[in-house]
Formats: sequence, structure tokens, C-alpha cells
Amino acid sequence: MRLEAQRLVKRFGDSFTLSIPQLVVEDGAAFGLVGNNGAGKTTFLRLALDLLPPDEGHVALGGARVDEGDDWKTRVSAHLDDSFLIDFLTPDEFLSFVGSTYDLDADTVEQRLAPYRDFFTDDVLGQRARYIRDLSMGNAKKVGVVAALLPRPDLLILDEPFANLDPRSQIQLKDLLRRQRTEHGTTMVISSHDLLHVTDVCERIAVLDEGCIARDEPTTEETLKTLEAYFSSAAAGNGSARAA
Amino acid sequence: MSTYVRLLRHRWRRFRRGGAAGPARVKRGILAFFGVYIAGSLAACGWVYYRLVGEVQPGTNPVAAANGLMLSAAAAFLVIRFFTQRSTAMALAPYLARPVPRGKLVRFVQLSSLASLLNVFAPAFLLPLWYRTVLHDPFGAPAPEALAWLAAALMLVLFTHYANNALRLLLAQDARAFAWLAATGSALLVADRVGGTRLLPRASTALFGGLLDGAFAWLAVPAGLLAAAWGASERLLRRSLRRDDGLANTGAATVPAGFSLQRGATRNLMLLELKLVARNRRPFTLVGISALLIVTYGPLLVVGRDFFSVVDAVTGLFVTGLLAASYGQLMFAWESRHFDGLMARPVSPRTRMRAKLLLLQCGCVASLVVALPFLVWLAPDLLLLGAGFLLYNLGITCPFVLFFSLWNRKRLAPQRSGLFNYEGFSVQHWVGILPVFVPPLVLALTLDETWLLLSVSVVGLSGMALGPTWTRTFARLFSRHRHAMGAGFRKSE
Repeated sequence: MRLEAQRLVKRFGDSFTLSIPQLVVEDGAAFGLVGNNGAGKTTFLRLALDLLPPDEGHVALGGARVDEGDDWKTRVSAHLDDSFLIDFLTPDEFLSFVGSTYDLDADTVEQRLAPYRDFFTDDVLGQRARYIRDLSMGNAKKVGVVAALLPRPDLLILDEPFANLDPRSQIQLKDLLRRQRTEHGTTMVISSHDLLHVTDVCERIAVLDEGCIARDEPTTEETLKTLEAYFSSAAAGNGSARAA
Repeated sequence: MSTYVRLLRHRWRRFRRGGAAGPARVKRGILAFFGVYIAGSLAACGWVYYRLVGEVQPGTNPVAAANGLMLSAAAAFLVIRFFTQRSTAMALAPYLARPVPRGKLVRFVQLSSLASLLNVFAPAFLLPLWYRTVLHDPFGAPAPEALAWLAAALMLVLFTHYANNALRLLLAQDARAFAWLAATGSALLVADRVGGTRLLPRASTALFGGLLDGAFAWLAVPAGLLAAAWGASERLLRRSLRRDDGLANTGAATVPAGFSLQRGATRNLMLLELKLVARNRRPFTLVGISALLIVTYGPLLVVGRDFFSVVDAVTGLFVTGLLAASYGQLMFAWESRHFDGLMARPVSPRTRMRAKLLLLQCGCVASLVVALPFLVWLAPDLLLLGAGFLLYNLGITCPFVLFFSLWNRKRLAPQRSGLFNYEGFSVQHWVGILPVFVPPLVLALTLDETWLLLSVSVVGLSGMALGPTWTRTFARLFSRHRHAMGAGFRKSE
């Protein structure tokens, strides 16, 4: 599912402006978005999901502008933060609810959950499961990411999916994301602070810096080093690394 | 002993430091003011209790009246505690990871849970009542008997405290057992009242009258009740410790999750909202208090109809409309914590509006079911008007409340306590509801009962017939407001 942003501008008073003249993520691509805190990654993802109205321009998913209808929602799935969880449900109930919104019956939900059961340790799923609000941050994140993967969407949008996960789970998640893409041709937009993981999963990485796309390149063997050098120069300088 | 002192010191620091910052300090100050005000009012009521009885039922011995009411009052107080008092299980959480002996921890939590305003309010009423009415002439008893009466009354207060702790823990651990217990208890109380056996008042008279007659053995009854409640609370508290410890070792097995495609999107959303109410303290308390108000004020309104004809209309509106009006005003704010998640999923605005409207309408019908025994018992002639106002509330109040909630912008924390919690409410909410409630009351003042019934029924039925139009219109409005709502809900609590 193709994602296209055209002349996209979102202002938050005088303090911050996100400005993306043009960005296209082609159907089936895995696109990584990296940047410092406050660079505008989550803002862009919210604009892409029509959770924020742009001040100028628009985002289109699969050719349809997100602010002009809801049909795209059946093909898109996302996990941005805790607000994508329903904290008073157990993980089973939540996954079942999410499945029902995508017209998945109980058997299909069960069947689709099978590959993810190893991803959950402890007793996150099952009879004695606790409410999501009582789970650790890592387990809650896993529930949110699996809920996003469950509908096998055409476009998957994840914000910081590796944050709060233990090393084993991070590796498992990378594998799950790769399989999702290989088996179902899912287009992915993943924002992350973790340069290593995002370069492992995505074939194209864009750096968002102070609301603007500073770099946008295909992933190569050198990408990780280049990105580390980019952010090191930012740390050594005055915060923004666009000049580097 | 040092463990208890350490725990007590920790609890005191939490209390002190929790209120050190600005808004928390102000909130605590306001709570303290109202606490003193309510306790003072109750103390005044207790002080003049014998005069109140003399005014309401001239010639009645106020001590005998009090004796007959004590057990019923304890049952009512238990219900009030259940809806307003914190669960003791929450007090365990900070210590679970600490090397505190479990037995001492449980006993500490049991004792420290007594620090509740309700344990101040009850004695604030009882002590002046006892001093002026039970101990002193003209109705007074000798000091030892009066002291025994007071001891029994205070033991009943403590009984309600620990019985409430036990009930709250039972609800958390075994909802089915709780439901059976609550249903059986309620059924027995209603049967006792409706069937005319009046066992509870008679037992109360026997107990407290017996104590005033010098039969001190009756003290064994409140003492036994208190011991049983303490024991049950302690046992369930220990079990909740074990449950927490044992959770990590339990195997995973699939549970029926409750949501399914067969149920349909509307019913799934309604089920989600019902779970929100049942599992979050604030909406649960709000619904519980609404039900309590319907049960307690409903009969008062019915009794008051002898004096004001408009009371019939107020009763009709209030009984079936209160729940929808109070819960429904925050219809979208309740889901503020997962608003973005719902917006990003393929749930059509129209389905959401339909689910919310239907849920509010179900609330109106459920309110009538709650109030029905009182209406049948106290004012069967009001049933027809009540049905008319039910139609009005279904067709007008519910859509209007839902419409008004489209302006919800403030994020709520539904898991927080509902007592004295008005977060999200403002004057505009109550002013906004006036256009719904005032016209039928004006009609009640100008029309006779037949025309009033006809008017509200026709208006209500018309509103119901417009159901699909409401949902379509509200869905359009919701789409227009969605970004403003999301922006407000995203701000921190």
C-alpha cells in the first residue's frame, strides 16, 4: 500500500513545524524513520493516520486521502503508543476486539495468534492473564505490536516498536516483521531511536531533524555507520545535525 | 513491633508528601473542609435526633425507634461503603516486593484501612445521638447498659468496614461468588421488607433493646459479626497476596475473550463500554451512585407527591433519566485513554454513535428495572407516567446527552476513585442539560396528567423514530470534531 505525503505542513505555534514537501513510500517497502526526540516522527505518523489535521498538504494511503474517508482503515494497522491499547481489557480480550474490528472471527484470531505465542513470555495470554494496565511496559508493547500485526494489514505503522523490549524480544520482533513483509507483502513505516534494529528491518531510512527530512537513503552496509556519524555530529554540535 | 512502626512511618510519609504539592494540597484542603462540614452536620443530626423523631412521629420513643433501625442502617451503610470506599488490596501493592512478613503486612493493612472518612462520619452521628438520647433522660438508660449499646453500635460500624473490605476483595477474586452473595443478600432484604416479616427491624430491636434491658450477652452478636467480617477480610487479603505471588507460575490457556464477529460491531462496542464501566473505579462508582440515588431518592420523591404535583414529573424524569444524564455527559471522555487507537481502526463513526446511543437507552431501561419495585410498592399509579417519561428519556434525553458529549475535550483517568471526583465535569455540563429537563417540567406545571403523559410519550416516540437520523447526524458531527477531541484527550491527565 503506497504512502504519499504532499506539501505536508503541521505547525505547533511558533515552537515547532513539521514540513515535508514530498515523501513517497512505495507499495511493499519497509521504510524507517529515525530522529532525535521532538524531531517530528510521531507527529508524521499521526498525520498519516489522520489523528492530526495537517495545516497544509495531505497524506494519501493507497491513493486515497486519509482525511476524506475511512475506507483505508481496513487495510492499515498501527501501534504508536499506549493510547492504541485498551488498558482495562486482558490481552486476549484486546486482541479479540481488534480482530473483530477487522472482521476476523474468533477462530481466525486464534489461528493468527499462534506464531506470536512464543513472543509472549510469562502469562500475558491465557486464563490467569491480567489487564493490560497491570502488564510491564515491555509486555504491553508486545500486545500492541501483535495487535497491529494481527489483521495482516497492507500498511503497518509502528512507533518505537523496539523500545522497552528485552534483547530476546527485540530479535524476535525483527524476525516477525521480516516474515510479515515476506509472507504478506506488507508495507511498513517504522519509527525508531534504535539505529541498529531499524537498519536491520528497513530497506530505506529517512532522518527527520527538527521537522524536516534531512536524509533519505536506501539501507546499505554503511548506513548504520553513516547514521551514527550523523547523530554524533549532532551531539557534538548544537543539536541539529542537518549541516553534517 | 518494629515492622509495624516502619510500615506506619512509610504510610505517614506517603500521606504527607502526597499532599505537599500545589493542586494535591488544595484538593486535600477542600476534602478536609467538606469532611469537617459533613461530620459536623451529622453530629448536629445526632444531637437533635430525639427532637427529629418527635417531629416526624410524635409520641414515639426515639430510643426504641433507633433500636429498630440500627441493623437496617448498618446494611445501608455497607452499601454506601461498597460504592465509595477504597479496596484494601490496593494498599498491599507498595509492599509486595519488600521483605515484609506477609502476616504482619496483612494485619497492618487491615488496621490501617480504618483510616477512612466514613469511619469518622458514623461515630460523628452515633456519639451525640447516644449521649443525648440513649444516655440522658428522659429516654436514657443506666450507664452500663448505655455503654453496652454504644459498644454494639460501634462494633456494627467496624463490621460494615471489614465486611466491605471482604466484599471488595471477593469481587476482585471471584466475581461469580460475589454476585451470588450480593443477589442473595439483596433478595433476603427485599423479601423481608415486601413480605412484611420485618425480621431485620425485629432482630435490631431485640439486640439493642436487650442490651438496654441489661442482657449483655447480646454483645456477642455484633462481636461475632465483627470477628467474622475481620476473618473473611483477612483470609481474602492473604489469598490476594498468594494470587499475586502465584501469577507468574500459571500456565497460559485460552479464555473466551467476549468479542466476536458474530456479535456484530455495535454489540462489541457496547460490550467494550460495559467492561469500561465494570473495570474502572470512576464510571463504576458513578453508575453505582446513580443506582443508589434512584433507589433512595426515588421513594422520597414519590412520598413528596402529596405536596407538589410536579413531583410526579420529576420522579418520572429522574428515575429513568438520571443514569444517562450523569454517565452520558462524559461519553467520549471515558474512552479518552484509547481514543487514538479506536480512531485508527476500522470502526465507523456511525457504528460508534449507534452503540453509544443504544447503551444510554439500555441504561434508562435498566434504571426503570431498578426503580420498579419502589414504584409498584409506593406509587403504582405513577407507572404509566413513568413509562411515558421512559419514552421521553429514550427518544430525547439520550440523543441530547450524546450530542452534548461531542464537546468532551478533557482526558479522564477512569481507573481513579470516583468519590469526590468531578474531573471532566463543569458548570456547562449541568447548564447544557437544562433544555432537556426543563420543558417537561414546564408542561407538568401547565397540563393535567393525561395531557402530560400524552405529550412526553409522543415527543419521546418521535425522538426514538428519529434514531437513525440522530446517529447519522452525530456521526457527521463526530467526524468534524474528531481532531479537536483527540488533541484534548492526548494532553496529560
